Amino acid sequence: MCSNPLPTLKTIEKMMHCLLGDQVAAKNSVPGPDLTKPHVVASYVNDANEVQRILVCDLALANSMGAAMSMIPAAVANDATKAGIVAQNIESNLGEVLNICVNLFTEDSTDRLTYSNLRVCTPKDPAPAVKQSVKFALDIPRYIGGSLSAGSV
Amino acid sequence: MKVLVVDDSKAMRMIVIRTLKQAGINNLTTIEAASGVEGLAMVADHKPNAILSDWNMPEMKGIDFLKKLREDGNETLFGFVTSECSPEVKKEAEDAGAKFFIVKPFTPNSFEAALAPVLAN
Repeated sequence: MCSNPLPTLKTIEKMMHCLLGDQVAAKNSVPGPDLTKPHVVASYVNDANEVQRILVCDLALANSMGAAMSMIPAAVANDATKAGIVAQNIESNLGEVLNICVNLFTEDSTDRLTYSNLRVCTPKDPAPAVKQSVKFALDIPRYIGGSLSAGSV
Repeated sequence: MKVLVVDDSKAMRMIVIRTLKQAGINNLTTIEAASGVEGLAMVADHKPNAILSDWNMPEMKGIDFLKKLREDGNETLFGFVTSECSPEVKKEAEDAGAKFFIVKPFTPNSFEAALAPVLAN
């Protein structure tokens, strides 16, 4: 059984400040990402390649996080969100953000997890069911914010 | 000081270079590579004083890049900047000859803390 913890508000805040700047604001939030609309799911696997943890975020937030990492204009992120996709020039940045976010699950834990992939999910192609999750809202200055959840699978 | 930054993410290379500058490394010049294979060519051509490399990269992983350098007799100061942080990975890096290990996400302070002792030598 995977012992990796789910992140706290403090660990989310610290991670986002390091990745996207000190102006990013985080707070606990319910109900979390709107799964009736396209959303991004990042999977984290153990050494046996079994998905153990996932991060789910609103598509708008995903595009914003990827764009904010290298200051891609917000309009590029917003246009991609309207089209229901992750922008091509944002995807590698977003992958890097989500790759680093593996360390949200590894504090105080010896179980090794690695980032596997990201995909855009919809109600017809849903994310894996989670046993337990924590939910946050992020506000990124100059970009559209949104909700993010971290769950155990 | 000439530093080679190796990471398959262009954005991450940019952030590493920005953080090196914020950490106050003196007389810094930087060069970049997107993989271990590119890194080997850059080391041969540009002879950097130090190398900061990601761990997980396509073509050639950072650890294989380091091992190849040492096999070839190259002893350039080498450290990892990576999201990998397990004790096993750190030990493998140290055994191969890495002198420092910076975990992503990082701050200028974490760069300074990792680099100051090795640069002092």
